[in-house]
Amino acid sequence: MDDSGRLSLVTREGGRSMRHSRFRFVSLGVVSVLLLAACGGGGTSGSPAASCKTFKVGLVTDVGKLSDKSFNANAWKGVQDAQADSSLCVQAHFIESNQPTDYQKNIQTFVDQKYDMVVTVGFLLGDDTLAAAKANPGVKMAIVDFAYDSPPPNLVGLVFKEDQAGFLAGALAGLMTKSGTIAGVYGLKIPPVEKYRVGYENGAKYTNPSVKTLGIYQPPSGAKSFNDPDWGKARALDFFGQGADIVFGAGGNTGNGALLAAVQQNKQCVGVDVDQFVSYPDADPCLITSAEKHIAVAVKTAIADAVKAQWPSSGLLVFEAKNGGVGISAYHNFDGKISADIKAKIQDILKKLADGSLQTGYTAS
Amino acid sequence: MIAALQSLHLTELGYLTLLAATPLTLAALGGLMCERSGVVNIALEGIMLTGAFVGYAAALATHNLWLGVLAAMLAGMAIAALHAALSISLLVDQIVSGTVINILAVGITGVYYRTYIQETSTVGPGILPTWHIPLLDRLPFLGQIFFQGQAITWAMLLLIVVVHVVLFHTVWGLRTRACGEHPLAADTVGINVYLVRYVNVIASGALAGLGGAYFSLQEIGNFLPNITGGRGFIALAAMIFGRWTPAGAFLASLLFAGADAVGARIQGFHNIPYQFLGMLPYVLTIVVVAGAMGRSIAPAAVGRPYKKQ
Repeated sequence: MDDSGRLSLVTREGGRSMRHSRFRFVSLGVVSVLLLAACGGGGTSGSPAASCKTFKVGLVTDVGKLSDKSFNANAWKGVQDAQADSSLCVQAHFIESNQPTDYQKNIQTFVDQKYDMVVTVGFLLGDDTLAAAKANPGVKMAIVDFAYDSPPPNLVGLVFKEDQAGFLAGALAGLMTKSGTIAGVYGLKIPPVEKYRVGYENGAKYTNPSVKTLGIYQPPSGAKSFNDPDWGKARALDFFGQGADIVFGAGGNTGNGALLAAVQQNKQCVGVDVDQFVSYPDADPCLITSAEKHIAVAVKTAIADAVKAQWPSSGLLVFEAKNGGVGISAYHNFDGKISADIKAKIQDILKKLADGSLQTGYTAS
Repeated sequence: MIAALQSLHLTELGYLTLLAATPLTLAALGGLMCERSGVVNIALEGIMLTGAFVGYAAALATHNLWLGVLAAMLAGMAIAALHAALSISLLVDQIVSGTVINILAVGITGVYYRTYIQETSTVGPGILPTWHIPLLDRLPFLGQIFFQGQAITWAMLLLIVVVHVVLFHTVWGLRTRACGEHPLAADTVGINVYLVRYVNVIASGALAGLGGAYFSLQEIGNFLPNITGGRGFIALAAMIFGRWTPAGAFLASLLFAGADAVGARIQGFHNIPYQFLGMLPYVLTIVVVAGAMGRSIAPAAVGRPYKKQ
């Protein structure tokens, strides 16, 4: 990538502005770091069997990057799973986005390199993915967490009923809290995150009508969106100070910070998206469960559909309790501390969510 | 009245403000040591990031958090020594040198993180223990804020005093300030300007490196690419707003950190749009810079390389 050109620009600028005001220096430093950070890291994995026609898949992360140990990491796992299935002949590569302004550029990189399919991870890439799909009808595109009203035929949205996963986790939290107050530290206020929150809070109230819920969304913060554990941890500590004894961390690395606060203060916590007991062992001591959406399954399904020419014409694949697309993780360390009675209640709620007899109370706004 | 105060949970607010001010203050102290001797240090961000990474890697390798903290400071000193060599001996523009270091730190830590650390899904080295000072930690309000905490925050409080004493009550401090105001005059009376500047720049690396360890070893117990997230630049602003004094830098850091903690609380009030909370620290910075900045005067010789005649 063209860092060298930028570097020389930055150094020239730096030299010239030496005698200007101090704040020019400060802002110059910020700008130069941002510029250089704009080129994301990339990586590849595996090689296809020689016998079949290669299907090239590119994955673009949001700013949470693969290091989030949940959302992006699991989407990439879905790609790797597709790759491991030798009948699909998938060859894959990823680009991590460092800045929101990278999304369009990173998608275009794969298009330019004649990839067959591009998977974009996250709601935040919604507009850029739609634009790229319209401009390149020959490239299949799948986006995690975005539902379009009338997408072009080469674009499919992979959406989850996060409210159902959140509802299950909240139902458990409502039964487990001793203080009667539960909290949540959430990522940006976007539909998937809102669904988790509404589900979690309504689930808690379903099993424990008198429960008090505290919560905060991370304000939009550029590269730190979903990626500010220090901030998330501080907010969780604040909630514990206000009496909460369980925290739901639903916001990439920001949410992970909340889990760390729970470990530090011997509180309980709920993970998000994947079984964080496995993906994020630092949080094991506090995790009572994780509200899961099976992103890897969804991504692999979309890739397989594309390879096998079973591309959904509706432009939407919905993953929910009914088809096993969402759920909660095993209780792990807390298995012995959660009574059989509580476990049965959770099972019952899962069954009712799956057959449609119980609604989470989430309505799209 | 008391119930109303309690419902505000001011203790948590104070505790979180002090916590968030820790890395800002440490980096700002480093910055002012450096600048008082006449060397601009916009590399604080890069030094913190390097400290955060090396500290984490060392703690991971040795299973000892304290060795990690030490390594973070040493790494900060090493990077600062590079800044010193470039800007003092080789007379490279100090802004350019600092910018290069900031860029270098993002790149190097990112590459090594992705190559060696990202894939391992093992438990991290953990975080520094929380200590309580017996009896004092039971004091209402102050006890929870100041007398139970982690080592780097306490070190920060101590270092404010240390840096103040060194700068304003020792011969070394006098020489440092002389080099920052009028290096030629200092040289004329026999002060080794190069030595003074080297030592101060490297000391600033130790301080900012310790600030970096706050993220990876005191708070998160992990390293993420760009974990410092621009706080080195906020520290720089705190140093300027604090008029190049340790106490001023601390108060300015508290102001910026406090805005964050209070801003987060505001989301609880439903009438206020949630974006406002994201805006608050920036609004505050603008107000501070526009309103109070006017009288802030930098050391006279800062930014100018000194060449012995």
